[in-house]
Amino acid sequence: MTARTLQTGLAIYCEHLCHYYELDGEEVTALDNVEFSVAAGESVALLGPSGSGKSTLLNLLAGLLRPSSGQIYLGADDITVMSEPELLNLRGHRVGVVVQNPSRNLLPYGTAEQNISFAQRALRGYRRIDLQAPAELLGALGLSELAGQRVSRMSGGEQQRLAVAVAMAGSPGLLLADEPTSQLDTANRDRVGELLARITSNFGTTVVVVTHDPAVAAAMGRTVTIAEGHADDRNQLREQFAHVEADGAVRLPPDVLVALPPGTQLRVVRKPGGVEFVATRADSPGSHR
Amino acid sequence: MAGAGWSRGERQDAISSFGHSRLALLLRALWWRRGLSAATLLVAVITIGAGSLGPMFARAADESTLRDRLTESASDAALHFTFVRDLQTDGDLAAAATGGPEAGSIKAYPKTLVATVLPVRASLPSQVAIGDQGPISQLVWRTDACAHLVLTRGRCPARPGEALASERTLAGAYYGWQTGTRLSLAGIADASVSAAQLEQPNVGVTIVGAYRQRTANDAFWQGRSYFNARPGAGDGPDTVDALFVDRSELPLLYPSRFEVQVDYPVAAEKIRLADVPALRDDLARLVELRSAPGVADSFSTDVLSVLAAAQAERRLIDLSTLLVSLQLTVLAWLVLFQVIADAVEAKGSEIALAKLRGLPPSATLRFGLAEPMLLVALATPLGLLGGWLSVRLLAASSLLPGTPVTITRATGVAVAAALAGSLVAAAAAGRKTLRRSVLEQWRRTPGHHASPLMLVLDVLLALAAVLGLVLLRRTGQHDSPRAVTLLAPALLVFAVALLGIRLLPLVLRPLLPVTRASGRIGLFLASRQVVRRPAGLRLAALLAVAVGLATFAIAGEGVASSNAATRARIEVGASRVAPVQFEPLHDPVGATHRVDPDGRWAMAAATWLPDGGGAVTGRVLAVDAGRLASVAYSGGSAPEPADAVRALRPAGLPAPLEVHTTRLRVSVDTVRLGAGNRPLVVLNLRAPNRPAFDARAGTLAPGPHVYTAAVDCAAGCTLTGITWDRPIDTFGELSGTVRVSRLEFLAGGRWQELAAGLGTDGNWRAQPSRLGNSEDTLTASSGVLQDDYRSQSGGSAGIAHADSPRPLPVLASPRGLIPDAASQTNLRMSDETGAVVPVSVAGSPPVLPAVLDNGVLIDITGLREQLPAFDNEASWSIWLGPRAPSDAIDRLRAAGLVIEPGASYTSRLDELGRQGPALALRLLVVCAIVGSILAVGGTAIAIASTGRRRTFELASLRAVGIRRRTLLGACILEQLLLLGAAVLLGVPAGYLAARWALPSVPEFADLTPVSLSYRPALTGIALFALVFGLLLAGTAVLAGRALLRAAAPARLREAE
Repeated sequence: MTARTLQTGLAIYCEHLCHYYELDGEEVTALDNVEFSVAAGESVALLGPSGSGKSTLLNLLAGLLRPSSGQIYLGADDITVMSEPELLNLRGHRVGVVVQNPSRNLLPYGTAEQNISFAQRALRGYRRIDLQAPAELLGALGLSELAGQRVSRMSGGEQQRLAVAVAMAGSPGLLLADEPTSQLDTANRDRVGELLARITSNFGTTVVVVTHDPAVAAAMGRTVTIAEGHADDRNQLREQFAHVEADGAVRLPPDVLVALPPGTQLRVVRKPGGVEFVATRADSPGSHR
Repeated sequence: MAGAGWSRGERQDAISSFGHSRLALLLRALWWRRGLSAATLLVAVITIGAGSLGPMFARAADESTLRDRLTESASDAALHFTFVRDLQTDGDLAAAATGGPEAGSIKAYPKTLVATVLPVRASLPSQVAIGDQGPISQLVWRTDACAHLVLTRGRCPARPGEALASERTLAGAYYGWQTGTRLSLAGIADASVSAAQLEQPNVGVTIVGAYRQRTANDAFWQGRSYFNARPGAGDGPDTVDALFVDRSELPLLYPSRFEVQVDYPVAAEKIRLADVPALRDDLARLVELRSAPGVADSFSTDVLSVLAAAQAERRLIDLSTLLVSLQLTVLAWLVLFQVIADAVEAKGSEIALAKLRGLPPSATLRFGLAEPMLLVALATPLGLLGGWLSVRLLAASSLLPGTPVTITRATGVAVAAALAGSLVAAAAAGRKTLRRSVLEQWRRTPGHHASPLMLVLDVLLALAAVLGLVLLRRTGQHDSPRAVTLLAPALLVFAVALLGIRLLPLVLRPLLPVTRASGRIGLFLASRQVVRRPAGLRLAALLAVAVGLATFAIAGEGVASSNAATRARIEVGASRVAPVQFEPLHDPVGATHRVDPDGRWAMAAATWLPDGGGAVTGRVLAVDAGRLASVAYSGGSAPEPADAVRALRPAGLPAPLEVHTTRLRVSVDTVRLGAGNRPLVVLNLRAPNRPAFDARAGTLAPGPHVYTAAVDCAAGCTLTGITWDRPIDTFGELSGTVRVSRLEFLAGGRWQELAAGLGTDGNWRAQPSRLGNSEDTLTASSGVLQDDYRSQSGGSAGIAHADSPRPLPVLASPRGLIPDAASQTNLRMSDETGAVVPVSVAGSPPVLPAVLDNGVLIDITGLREQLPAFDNEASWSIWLGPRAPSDAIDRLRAAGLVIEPGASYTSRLDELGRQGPALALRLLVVCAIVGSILAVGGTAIAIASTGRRRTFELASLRAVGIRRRTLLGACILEQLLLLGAAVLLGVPAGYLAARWALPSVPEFADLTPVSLSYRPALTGIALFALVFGLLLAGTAVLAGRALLRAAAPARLREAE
């Protein structure tokens, strides 16, 4: 292992972070005074419904957006005062990004190795031979079966897993993933989730995943919920959200699952303006609404 | 992620594979977007090709022009040396022949033609016996002379003492010469002739054969005057054509003063543009050498003037071609810009990915532009090859056969400029996409921000275009067209297209509520999209410019072709004008009457320059007026032939007095005779294929008498008049009064009266005085013509039959007569012998066939009657009309004429088509049509690119339930609105540009007095608009379908 090959995970700290944008002449609040921190080498899931601001937060962390106000520290660096070239350098050397749409993560006409090499073009100040060769990287991530394959011939799941590998091409200290599994089936979702989790454990890279899928969130070390532009990273939730699957199954937040384990019968009470679930099993710790 | 310590070989493999990986990725990307890559490559090839096309075509056209001018002015461009030497030996001749440059020392003049000329009097033995001398001739030896003559009798001289005489000299035994006749040769005593003199007395030659010229203007003779027979010209001895002798004759003539002629014919086919500077230097040295003091021999050439004329035309070609190819290049640049912008836009997500991966700006720039830059670089040799092939094709159809097409330094500069421009266009085109942020690139629909700055820029550009147009229009007028006016149509069309396309959304905006209310959603969507000012709007403006330019070019080419046809018709005069060598026994007028009795396709004509001092200052074109309407062309402000005939042959003239007889007699009652000798009664006659001649009928005696003359008119003659001729020994005044009452001819043994109309006023008139003074007062009544005559100072009176008008009516173009001639009476013209013919102005058209604005048109019959020397002084030709049979020339040869094919309307049209301005216009048509097709292609690419950006929009519409068919209709209609607007703007703009600018755009290398028309024909424009409209409609349908194909509702499933 050379001096370059292993970069320690980056810690994240957001303070008084606000972001607004204009839509049809009106100001919309995407993030409202968010305070958010992630320890170096930690894996965190940003969980929330559509429009909650989680993607905006991720874009801010990646330096793709500038906040309206507040500070964002990656490690010791306040990225809100960085210039565009510095932000580019940040993404090239220290932050890897995986986005939802596989076509935006990869060069469709390239092979797996060519995509990794492409990402490694960004690296400065290091001899290229010091970098991990693409084939080695694929092997290290358990993706050797993708070696030599063209992206256009891969399945969606394979593409997303390769996208993770490409994002790790420069051995970043921080990996940001925005809804990496939203277009995947369950099996592929789990594989991507496992891969993300392995990155933290095997490489020490800080991983932040934006998702609305609790299963993916469960694979991360910690969950931060975001709702209406507010985030709470202290695991003390003001609001939590459950996800209703296509087959009608409801996915509860992990901590709620502790109180309502699988098999709990819930009575559905329709009320004006909403629905109430009431646990009815005698062995449940208590009824919950 | 552990990195291993690599070995040196592993490192090298890594570096190598790294490079290969980048190139491989680039090639994969090109293949991935192979359609767009092919389009970009094609447009880049056309751009580079367009840039190279101008200099290459200009060079080829220059070469063709140089060769054309040298070929058509071959005689002027040759070198003519004349040395007068006392030759005593053949060595002296050889030395004299080297007085000019060595043969082949100047590339343009690879060979020489040597001749020796000795003016002689050639006499029959019978003439020598009585101390008389025969006609003047020239004893000529010339290299290969016999190979360029047609032998009509006998053979070429092969030994000393033999000579070849001309057929027309032997014809009719006028001089008593025949094959086998021995001629005595003597030196010239007349000081007016050359000083060269035969020293050896009693030298003689025997005529062993007779010749005719192979063609009337054979370049072999280099304009030397060997065939200058002038029978009956003036009082002195006649001049007959040269006597050709063998080389072996010359020693028998030594020592004598010869004229040694050395001609250097120009080898036009060998001269290239690169040779011209060296040729000028050689000629400058030669001129300096020959003009040195003490050098008495003559040297003449006009090649420098020919080269100067060619250079002037070349400048016009170069500028015109540059302007035309520049317009195509700029158009191609703009299309290339758009295509590359689309190509880079198509790569937008990958560029965003590069930024997402943190590639530095330079690396992102290289990544983003690598594909178009590589394609542009690849297009350079392909474009140059394409340009070269295009010029080859153009040269094959437009220039002289065998014209080389070369790649010159100017071509290299043009290609480099086109390449540089293409690279700049590529960089500029990609700038927008490269500057876009990652999130902006990922947006589903592009943001559109109407820029007021762009509107201001467009207006300023349009105003600048209009201003430029006004300036250009002022620089070129009808009489001084300038090549720079070729930019005018581009400016006009550009202004119209730019503003028109901008107005399109405004024009459609009021329709939105109407279309919304109509419930026809397809129409609403289409008009809404256009009102939104889609990205294709700019390309539609470009397409409008291309269509406008093509329309102008087609209109201009049509106008230029029509004007060239008019000019060629009037300059040549007929479908073909074939020069004829005049021979007395083979009258061209008679020959045409024999081969074409109905006068439908052949007409004899002759051009002539009158002797100075008369009213006619231009060239005289004498035509057989009765055939003019069937044979000659009209148009271009030349008079209609039928009108010309009426002017030249007034009605009411009596028919000529034609007789077939051997005896004629006239009944004359001499009422009064003045003192002194009595005049002779001489009948004046003319016959086909013979000079005019007289027949003596007796001496005038008091009282009524019948005077009879023997005439050689069995084959037919025309009685032209009766002269009261002065006897040779009579001086002083002759006068009297005679009454002519009857003219008769012998036919079938019986005398028959000739219906001469003696008693009809106007049928006879006084004869013009040929020598001295004469005066006749005629009175016609009761079948009798009374003539009160008086002659003095050696003149003779007489009466002439008025079957031709006098004065002769002429149609005169502006420079054909002295100023204010139309208001003057007593206008005259005369020949070399002093004979005078009065003329009157019957019309003043701006131009006349063949002589244009510097001549007069006259009926040949009257002119020949009244100017006896005309036949030998004039240059004859046969005009063949459009109905002439294909073997017309052969038929005329069979009738005895020495005739060559000569100039034709078709060949003149080809010559005009090879002039610089015509070539430039033709190039403009080709470039404009290529530009239009290029613009259509660019538009199609832009539409496809739009499709990518509008995928989500169209997918949304499908997802909410709009039927596919409705959306398809909307897409097609949208394209039709854009493309149709381009055609609707471009075609009228191009037509307007043609109407306005064409009078200022040069069509010919020189000015012409022929009136030209500048109204474009609508047929060609309509056909182009129709074909192009169909092409665009097809493009709109295909583009609409392609647009909708990518809009699947499944695209909406992305979570972003």
